[in-house]
Amino acid sequence: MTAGRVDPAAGDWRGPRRPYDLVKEFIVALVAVSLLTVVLALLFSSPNEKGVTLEQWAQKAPNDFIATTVSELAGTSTSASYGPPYNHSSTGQQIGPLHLQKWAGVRIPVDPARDFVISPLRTMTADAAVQAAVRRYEAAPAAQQDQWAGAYADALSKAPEGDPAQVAAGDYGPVPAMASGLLGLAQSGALDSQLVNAGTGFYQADYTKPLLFLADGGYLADLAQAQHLSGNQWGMMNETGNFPGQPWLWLYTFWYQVRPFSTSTNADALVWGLMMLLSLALVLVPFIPGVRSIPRRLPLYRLVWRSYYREHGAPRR
Amino acid sequence: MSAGGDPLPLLAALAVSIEALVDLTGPGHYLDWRFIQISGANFAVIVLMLVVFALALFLPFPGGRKR
Repeated sequence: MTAGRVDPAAGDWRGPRRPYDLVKEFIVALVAVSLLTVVLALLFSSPNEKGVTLEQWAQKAPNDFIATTVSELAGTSTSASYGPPYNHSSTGQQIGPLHLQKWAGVRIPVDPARDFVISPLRTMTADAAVQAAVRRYEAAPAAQQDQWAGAYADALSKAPEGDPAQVAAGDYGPVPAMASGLLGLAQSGALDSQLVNAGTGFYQADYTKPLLFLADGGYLADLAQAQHLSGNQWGMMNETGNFPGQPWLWLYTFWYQVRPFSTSTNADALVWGLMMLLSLALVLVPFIPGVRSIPRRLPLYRLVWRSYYREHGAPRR
Repeated sequence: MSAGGDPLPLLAALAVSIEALVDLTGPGHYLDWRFIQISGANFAVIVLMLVVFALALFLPFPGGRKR
């Protein structure tokens, strides 16, 4: 504080005082908000979208399911190339020299080809053709496996609507039989339970693998797009249907809509870093010259306490 | 299950009777302006928050005149 200037916020309050019942206000607010919650719940209920299953995906978008299965075998799916915490395929998200994702390490190992395709197919012991295809695939060198899967993925992308029945003839090895086998397994509903991690105890609630597999395909993305839930649709603050979502996340999701974040492969790390910086700035508002003076320069408090200032005039500076 | 009968149909009937009065499960309505996209519901919530804020500013404190 410089000499000659009086800081109105410093020193003891010497003006009038009045009693205030904080407990009464708390109880009144609690009762009012509780009643409001019950009334709004009766009026509007809440979102109740049914969970998307692998069975539903395989039945409604079989061509997408087949293409995704082949991409898992070819190692080109999002899961296969994600990096930590699932595998070492890439270094993942980073901020400049800070390799945040890599530092976190591989804590949830996932091998998409083995976990999503080969292991479930091995359980189809009654299907001799599928078992023969799996044995042939596993007996082949890795380069041959990649060649089969890559060639079939290319052929599927060129077929009308990705239809496996209209794929051009070629050397795809056992891959088409494996993809077709997994499609049948998924359409029966068995794959949903097989991909839920059995190592989590009596209650199996680890949906990491089915969710990763689902997210690798286009079906889930299409559903999200239709509900305005994608990252480039401000999806973070949206809810399904006409329900309000999370409008308080507007700033976090805002950055994903503008460059350079909207075109960056490191957007998650960059946006997180920026929000941490902004949060730090918010915490440090009382220490930032200029910003800390906004409440004094924008005297909203005089509107709140207008009766007092009507009687006593503007504060002395 | 009580001796008086199966309570499940009763619960189901109750659930139907207290179903939401306003159905919000249909396709969402969205407002678009350049790259800004906001759902009608979120917009309504934000407007309501601003209205509550304005009311808190301008309405007199209950019982304030007595003091």
